[in-house]
Amino acid sequence: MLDFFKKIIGDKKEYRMMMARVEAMPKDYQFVFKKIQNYMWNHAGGDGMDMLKIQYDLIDLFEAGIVDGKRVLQITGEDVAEFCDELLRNTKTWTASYHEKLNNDIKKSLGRKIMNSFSEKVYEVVKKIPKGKTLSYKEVAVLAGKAKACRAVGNILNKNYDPKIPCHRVIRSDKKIGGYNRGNEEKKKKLEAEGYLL
Amino acid sequence: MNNLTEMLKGVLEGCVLEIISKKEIYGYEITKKLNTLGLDDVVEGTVYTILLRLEKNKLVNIEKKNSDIGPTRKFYSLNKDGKRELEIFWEKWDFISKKIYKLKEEK
Repeated sequence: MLDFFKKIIGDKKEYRMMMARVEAMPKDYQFVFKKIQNYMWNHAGGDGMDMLKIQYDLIDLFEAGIVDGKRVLQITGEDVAEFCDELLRNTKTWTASYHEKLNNDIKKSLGRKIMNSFSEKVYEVVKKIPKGKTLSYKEVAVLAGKAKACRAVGNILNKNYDPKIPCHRVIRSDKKIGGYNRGNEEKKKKLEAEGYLL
Repeated sequence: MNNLTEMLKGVLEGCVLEIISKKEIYGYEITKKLNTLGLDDVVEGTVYTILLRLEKNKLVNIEKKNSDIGPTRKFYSLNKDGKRELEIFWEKWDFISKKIYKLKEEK
């Protein structure tokens, strides 16, 4: 309980210091800062601590701007709301929880089976293909537990850009190299560099 | 060139990563660099929000230092994850730009 009070008091002290720095700014900076602050609170989703942190940092940015002799809109751009929205992308907002809920609901009833588990299995299988070796789309499908899903394997790997998942090592059953989301030439080059003979 | 804001949105993060990868640098200098390049619309605030994101995603190392004038500034450099992120950015950029040109050239 004591810790809890300490935290609140500590925060308040910090907050007062922060606002004192704001009061020391030129009028145009103060005006914009308070507008931004207001806009942020309207969107706060959690306890707002993440927003406070961003506001503290924002003071640093503004103070640097003042020293550089800039007007406030040269710092934020004229579209201050857009600037705010970008700042809010780094925080917990109440709209974000709706956003998340919508996607979660959909995933729960429609997507999970197809989207998550199978593609994760495919990635697991492909991760383990060593340098210089290949698997066919068909073989990957079998190893991931869906023998008939070789086309789905292609679609899943087409979305992969993670360098830890060497999807270039998956080729066609007839030993033709098949497609690659960074260009077929690139796939060929990578395979040759790893000592695989085409 | 002006009025690039919408189009730049997705790629500016990659540009900032690229600039940071060359040397340790602070926000204002990054903005100046982009302006010199001809991206006039980019203001410090835009770069600032990107830097916040890079920090949150743990792609940069940050050191607070005194600069020649004014208050302490945060200097940014890329860490290992940042370097990987930059590589992925260029791969994606190459892919997208090739595809878009292809679309233009199609009969």
